[in-house]
Amino acid sequence: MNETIRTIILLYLVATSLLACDDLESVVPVTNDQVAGTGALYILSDGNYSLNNSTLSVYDFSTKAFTPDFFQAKNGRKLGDTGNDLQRYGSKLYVVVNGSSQVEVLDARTGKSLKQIPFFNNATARQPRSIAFWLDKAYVCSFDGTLARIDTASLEIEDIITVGRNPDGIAVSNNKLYVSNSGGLDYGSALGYDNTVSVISTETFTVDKQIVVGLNPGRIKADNFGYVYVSVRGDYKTEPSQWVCIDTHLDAVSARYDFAVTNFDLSGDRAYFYSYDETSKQSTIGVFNLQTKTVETNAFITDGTLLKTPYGITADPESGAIYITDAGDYISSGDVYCFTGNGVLAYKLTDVGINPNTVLPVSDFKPINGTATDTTSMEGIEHVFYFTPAPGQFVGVYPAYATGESVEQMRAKAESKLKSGSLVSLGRFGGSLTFAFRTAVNNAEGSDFRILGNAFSNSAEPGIVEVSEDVNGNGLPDDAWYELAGSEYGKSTTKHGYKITYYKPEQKNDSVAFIDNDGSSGFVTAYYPTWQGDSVVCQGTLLPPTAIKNELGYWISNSLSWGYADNQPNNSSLNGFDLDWAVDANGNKVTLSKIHFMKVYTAVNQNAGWMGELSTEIGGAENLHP
Amino acid sequence: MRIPIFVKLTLAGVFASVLQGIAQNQPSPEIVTVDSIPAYRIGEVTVVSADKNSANPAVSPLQVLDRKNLQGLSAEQVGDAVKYFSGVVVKDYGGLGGMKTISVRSMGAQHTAVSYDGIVLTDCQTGQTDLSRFSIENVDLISLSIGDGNSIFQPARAFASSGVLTIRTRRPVFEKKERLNGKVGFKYGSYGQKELNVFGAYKISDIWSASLSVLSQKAKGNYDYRLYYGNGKDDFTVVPRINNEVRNLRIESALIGQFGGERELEIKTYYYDSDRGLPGAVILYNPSSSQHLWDRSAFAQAHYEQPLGKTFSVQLNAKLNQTRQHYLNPDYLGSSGAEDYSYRQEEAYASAAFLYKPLTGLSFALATDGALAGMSCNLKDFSEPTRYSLLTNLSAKYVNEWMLATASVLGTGIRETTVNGPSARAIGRISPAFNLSFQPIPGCDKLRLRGFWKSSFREPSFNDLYYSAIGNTALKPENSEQTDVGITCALPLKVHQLGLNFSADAYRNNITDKIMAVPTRNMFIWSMVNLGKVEISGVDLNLEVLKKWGRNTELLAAWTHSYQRALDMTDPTSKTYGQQIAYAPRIYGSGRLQLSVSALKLGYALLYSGHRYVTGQNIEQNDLPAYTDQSLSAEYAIPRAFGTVVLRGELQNLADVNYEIVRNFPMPGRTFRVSVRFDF
Repeated sequence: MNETIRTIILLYLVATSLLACDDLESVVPVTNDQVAGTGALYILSDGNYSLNNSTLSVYDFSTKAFTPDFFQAKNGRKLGDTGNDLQRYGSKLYVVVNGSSQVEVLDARTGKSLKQIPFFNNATARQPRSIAFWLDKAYVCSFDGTLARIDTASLEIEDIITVGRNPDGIAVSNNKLYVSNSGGLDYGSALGYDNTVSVISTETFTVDKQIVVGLNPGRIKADNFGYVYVSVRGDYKTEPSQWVCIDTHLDAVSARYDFAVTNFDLSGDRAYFYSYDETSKQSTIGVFNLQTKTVETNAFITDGTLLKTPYGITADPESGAIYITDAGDYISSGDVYCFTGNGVLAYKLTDVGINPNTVLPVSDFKPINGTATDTTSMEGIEHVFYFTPAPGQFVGVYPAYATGESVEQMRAKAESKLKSGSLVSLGRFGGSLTFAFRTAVNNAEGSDFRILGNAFSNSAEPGIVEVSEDVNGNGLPDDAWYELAGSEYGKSTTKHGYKITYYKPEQKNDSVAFIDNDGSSGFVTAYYPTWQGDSVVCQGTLLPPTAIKNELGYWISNSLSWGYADNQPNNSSLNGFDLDWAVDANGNKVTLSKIHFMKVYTAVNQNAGWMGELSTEIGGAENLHP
Repeated sequence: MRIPIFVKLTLAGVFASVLQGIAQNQPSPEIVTVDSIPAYRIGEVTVVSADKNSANPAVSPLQVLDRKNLQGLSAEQVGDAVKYFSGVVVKDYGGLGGMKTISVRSMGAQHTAVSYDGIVLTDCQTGQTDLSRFSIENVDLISLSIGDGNSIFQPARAFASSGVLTIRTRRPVFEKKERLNGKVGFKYGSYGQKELNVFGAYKISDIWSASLSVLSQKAKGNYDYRLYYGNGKDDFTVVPRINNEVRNLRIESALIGQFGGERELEIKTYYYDSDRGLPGAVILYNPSSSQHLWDRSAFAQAHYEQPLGKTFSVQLNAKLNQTRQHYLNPDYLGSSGAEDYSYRQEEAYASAAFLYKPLTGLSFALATDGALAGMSCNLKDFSEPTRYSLLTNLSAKYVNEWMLATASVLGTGIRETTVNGPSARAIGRISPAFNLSFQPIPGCDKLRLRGFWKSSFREPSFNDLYYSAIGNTALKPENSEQTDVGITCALPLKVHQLGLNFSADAYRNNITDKIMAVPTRNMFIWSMVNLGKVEISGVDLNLEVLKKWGRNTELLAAWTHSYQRALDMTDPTSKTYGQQIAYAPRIYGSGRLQLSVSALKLGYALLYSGHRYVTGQNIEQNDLPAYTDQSLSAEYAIPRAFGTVVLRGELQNLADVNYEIVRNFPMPGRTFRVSVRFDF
């Protein structure tokens, strides 16, 4: 028996060690072009059929980072199976997930999920396909032949009506909804494809008319001139493909074009489409003028760029860019090509997801690190009044200083950095930043605003925050300042009214001399903010040194309990500031109903060995009670 | 002649080698009882001794799991048992009702023939066999031969595939004076599994005997599994697998006539009726599942062989087969409200084979097979094809004490007609094969080297050719070319009552004109084309050790391990070029332990597989993690007055992990089964 047990263990060990010598390795996808810009690109990919691998990816232009499964990274769960449509309306993004039969509603700027709306008829999945918007309602058509109306404030389904068979697309024009009924699931039966577009009034939410367009209508979009275009795919045997134009004033077909349009998008006065040519067995990308109703070119791409399988096409009216996705072999991951309006390739993003179908630029993209308390209405730093850092190892680096730049130029740089979510370093004790949000911060229940930094649990560089109300109403921070008393305010180790003066060194890299009002003087190794003049005077409350060397010889700086900037991590609930903490110069409590200006300054004066000095870093701020 | 006597003397050795799992298996055996243990005698003249004392002379990799080995596994179906062969990856959709198909050395399921009691099963609709249809209950032996085996006296169809999986069911066998024997058993298991099986064998006369078996099974299959909604370790909820019930019934009968002098007739009938829910892939946030499948199939086959004088033997085989399948999807969003498809396939098959032995050690065989197969279904405008196949195989074999060589050439002609629409193009192919096994050290029979080269193909299935808009009647067959070199050795250590058998094979396979579905203009229009090229190279290892203590105690340990590089070499511009093909692990293997102490038999089995990718693009997002699956079995036989009561317990997937072989089809967690059987 012992031998048996030993042999069992031996077998199992052999198996597990053999599994460790598996030389099958994942292929690392090519890293993408480093494209700069503002905001981000959301990319929705279908995934493979029933593999639950539909993805919503984000390419962030400010960090130049691509997150393949952004939805999961943001929301802790996967998007599901076959996401077919992605659109933005107001501050929200709507993702129609066909296989999982859900509509996901996200905050457009952060990608955080607000609601998941299931589309089921008792136990049967409706399989939603496309979405369109009018006023304060969203309309989703589903493959089970229904059209649902959702209220965009409550995000509840209000009403469901029946349209044609297997609706594929929906467009809105002239106060009416146009739904293309493909009938695709009846291709094998005697009934065959559907051939109509249903016209629904948004006021009564009833089907007013059915327009016969041709077999198997699919993609449908409205232009700005009162016309709706629908791609009619035929039955792939005898009935041909067409591109059909509907006049929304007459609700009748006004023109038919003999292109086999597989997909298209409308922007301004142009339609960008790609069609498949039976004789050459090629797809060509063309441009159609919506005013003159003629084809401008059948060869949109002018620089010779070749796409294997054009799949999705998006024309961005804001930037004029045309995004075309390439699905490759429909099983492996696809790519996104960005072309200028002239058909020249601007850049390419490879391996974005499997069967990428929609590209959506979001110029006000602003991800928050960690949980947001209120994601629907967030405000960041609007204006920096003063940027006056003390000497520090990152002064002149975050932001960068070029010789000769002025105080105003550095202020502008700091403001720009903070508005795009980058870090600004305040240097050692006393270095400060004065800023404002777009609106006042109101004193309500709990934290009223928060400040983001780069703190972790054993790497805190606390800064003190002062606030001021614009009493004289001139929009300038020249009113009384009050300190927000943090957890250390009343302790004997905290020194109030500390003042230190730093002096500009002769040479740029020389040590910086200082004198304080505690009787100390000496030199510190740090970069001096040259644009500030010959000396920098800093005063305020001094916190005791927070950095210590642990038993392994590492310098650690543990967080203080609460009430300081760059102290607790950004996803902690302890990095908020409550206006109830305001005190005057003598430590008496002050009642403030709202404030307009904030000042943050580094509140510790310490060198942590090789780590250098402790200096408060700011990455942004949020007004929680605008 | 020396050889037949040698064969008779090594019967005990043959059976011992059958115990070891590496033995010779012939398709037309005669049952002889030796010490009331059934053994198979080799009908064809050849050197057998594949016992633990000398190296296995098989010219190509041959693995066997006999009744005793199968006892040590907690396998319910043939599809579970074949996972313990090296070179085999089973695509298992999970549970009793889940489909299981076998792919040998990554060539694909359509390249492996499944032979049931000597005759190859065919499914012209899909081209592959679902191994979940065959229960282990009355199976005596499962063997896998990659490439051609040592035997040339077989129907031509046995030479037509890259490998043959042979299933041999229990034959009526009687001890002296016994006229009736059999068993009645009842099994109960997790997730509502209940099973009744009855087997009876009756000796009608000295020449004729008959058997009948009835197996009725049902299970709910509602196992709990972890549904992962995110990639984190803790991102799951536990939900039951729904719509996974299965009920099936199998009735088989056999009539055997043994006329003496190697003349034998065997007639078998088989009836299978199953009714199962299809749970489908797990789709996040959409738990609806209502698809259902009914299967009914029946076949009757006959086998007759006899010698003609001293130098000739003849073998005749015939089979009639009908399969019906009914698929229902009541939640279909088309206007009919449901997908309701009925399919029907029928085949008539006949084969004649001759063996000619002009000289000692030299033999020739000629076999001709003809088959007529047709399919109908209720799909609109379905083609209703009829396939006419004619196969002729000519083989030569030379054998002596230290070497065995065979050469074959198979000619295949296939023609089709249809009722509606175009029919497939006619196929005419010549497929040769060469096999060799020899002792490199003269006089030493403990070590042998072997090698084979085989060219074969698989014809397109009816689905490939005629299915709706996808089918392509211009398809050509898919080619497979195999090259293998191997070594077998045996190390008996008599003093310790220990026997060891080892084999290692390195191979290279090329698949060309691989039939694949590619999209055309858009996602809805796909087409089957001959496009793919796969280059497969690998190593298969098998080791068995048998240790005895005294007369009553023995321990068998077996280990298989496979390494395979199966690379897609179709299109250098594609994102899958040079990468491992979908669902093919780089390494995988198994381990088995069986301990017998008198009437108690204990078994431990282990399956392991390295990670693999769900599509041909080997990126992180497509990764399916590695897994292990361990199981235990225990059996205790209590002899009683007129029979034996056998108590058995099995515990499968000890670690209770819902691993996936096919993505989104989770396997059941820990499963137990207990059974009581009365052998009389």
